[in-house]
Amino acid sequence: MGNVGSDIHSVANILLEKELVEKSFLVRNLGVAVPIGEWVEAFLNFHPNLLLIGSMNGDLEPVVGLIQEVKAINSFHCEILVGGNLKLGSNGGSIAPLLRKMGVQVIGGIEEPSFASISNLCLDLTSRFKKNSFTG
Amino acid sequence: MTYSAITKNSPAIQPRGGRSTSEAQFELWNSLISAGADVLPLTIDSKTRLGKISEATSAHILASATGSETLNGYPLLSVPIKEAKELISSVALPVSLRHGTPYAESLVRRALEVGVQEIEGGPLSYTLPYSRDANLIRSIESWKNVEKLCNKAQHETGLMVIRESFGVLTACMVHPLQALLVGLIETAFTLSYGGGLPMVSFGSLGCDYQDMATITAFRSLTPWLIDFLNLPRSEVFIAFHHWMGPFPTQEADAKSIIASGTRIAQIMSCEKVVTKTYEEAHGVPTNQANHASVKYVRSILDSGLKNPSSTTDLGGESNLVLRESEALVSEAKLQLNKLFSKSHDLREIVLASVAEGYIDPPFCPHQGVLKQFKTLRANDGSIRVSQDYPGKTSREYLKFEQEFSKSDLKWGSYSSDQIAEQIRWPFKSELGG
Repeated sequence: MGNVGSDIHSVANILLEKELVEKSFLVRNLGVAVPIGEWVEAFLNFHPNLLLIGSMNGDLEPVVGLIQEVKAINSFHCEILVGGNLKLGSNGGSIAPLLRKMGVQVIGGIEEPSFASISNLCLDLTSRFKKNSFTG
Repeated sequence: MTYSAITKNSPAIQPRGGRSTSEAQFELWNSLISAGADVLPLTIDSKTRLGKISEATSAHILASATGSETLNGYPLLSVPIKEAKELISSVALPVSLRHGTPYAESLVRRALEVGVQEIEGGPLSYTLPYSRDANLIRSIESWKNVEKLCNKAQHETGLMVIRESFGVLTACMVHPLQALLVGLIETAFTLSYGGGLPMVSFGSLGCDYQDMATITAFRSLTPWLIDFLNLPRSEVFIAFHHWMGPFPTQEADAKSIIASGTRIAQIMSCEKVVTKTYEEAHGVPTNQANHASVKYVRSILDSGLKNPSSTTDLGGESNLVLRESEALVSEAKLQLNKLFSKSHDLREIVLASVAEGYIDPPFCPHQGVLKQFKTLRANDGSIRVSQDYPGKTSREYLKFEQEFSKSDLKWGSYSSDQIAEQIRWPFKSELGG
């Protein structure tokens, strides 16, 4: 999990990690403003079952696109969830439809409030992933 | 430039905002000026902040061609100097650079070159909350050069450059002590390198008496520190930021938060209030929302609220404010005495303040902080030191902090949802509410 490119908002990142660890997920938190190369490196090293990508600056598309390519080339199974602010500037459109088309689940974002709380999100993830084993 | 000349002894209103092109920035400024702003923002986009200039330039070109917003701020280093200079000189009000850049030298050099008069940031406040792994030694050198550039600009233009610290830090549950220490260390840093007129700042804590106590503590501590370190005599201004945490989606609730912060800035005679809009919860605010919010703040400031001459004029709040500010001043002096006991070299002090855990803001993304200082909200809405993560807090101060809660304030015993709830505005603590 982590925030992409130029996003340095750390609060949700820290709280989500706290909750996931308490729910026995094995978490590799890359932190904030993670460069695109580091996402790929971490993805290849840790083969995650789940990738949580956040951005408050709307710049998710390049990372999601590259990770999906790496996934396809290596035949990895990994669900990708993205959240944050999914539109650019005061008059920019939402990139949520584009991200969905790219095969990722859109959660949380300001205009996509799918979960009422961090614990609700983590409960949902626990119910979907409890039978999976994790490597790290 | 003096603030009293601009503001007639009322806090100067500074909104926030940066756009992808000069045309859009000018439109935003016009809407802010017509609403009653006193200082105009030049907020830099996040790509430029992180040194990704070619990406910012591509987005700027796209925005210029299509008229759409492709960046979340103004790409100062991608715009031709002549164009940026024309933009700044087209407005009569001072312009404030807000950028969040750890290595700020080239951005500040350009800003001063095109006529910007206020430079926000410092080696602590623009490194720790704004980066994961920016090198603090490099940042300190960069900000030392920023101070020298500001000094040079003042001599060349004859205009005072305001050097504003950013005590808002991570904007979530930041204890006033952290804001005080950062503001004081950065004030000392600015004065020791002749950088201009220091302005300390912090963001509304969500607790009125604690906000007022923090401002009172700043007023007491800045002259003390200047004497203590034998720094050049200087006024030190105070900027108060409206609540910087998550905003409610309802306009009425957002306006109530904005009104509360505006009244605090006015009651406490801050030199500046940095404003928010009621659209914060919905993404980057539009020009219309910016205009309406500045107009709202202006109407509150112009409503004729009497400024109390001291905290003793604050009625029921005064005892709380005085007790809180005395505790803050005492603890800040204790920590600063320890910190400065080894050296008075401000570069060494900035490094030591982080390495030894004096500066350790909650939710800080930077890998260099110790993460040993955490905070929680007490029953009355005030922000208090968590008993299980006290950082450098003295035993006496920790005891004082626990007095405000019936149960043990321990970060480890709170769930993520409970902590997320504490990050929100505690409506119950509003003045008079």
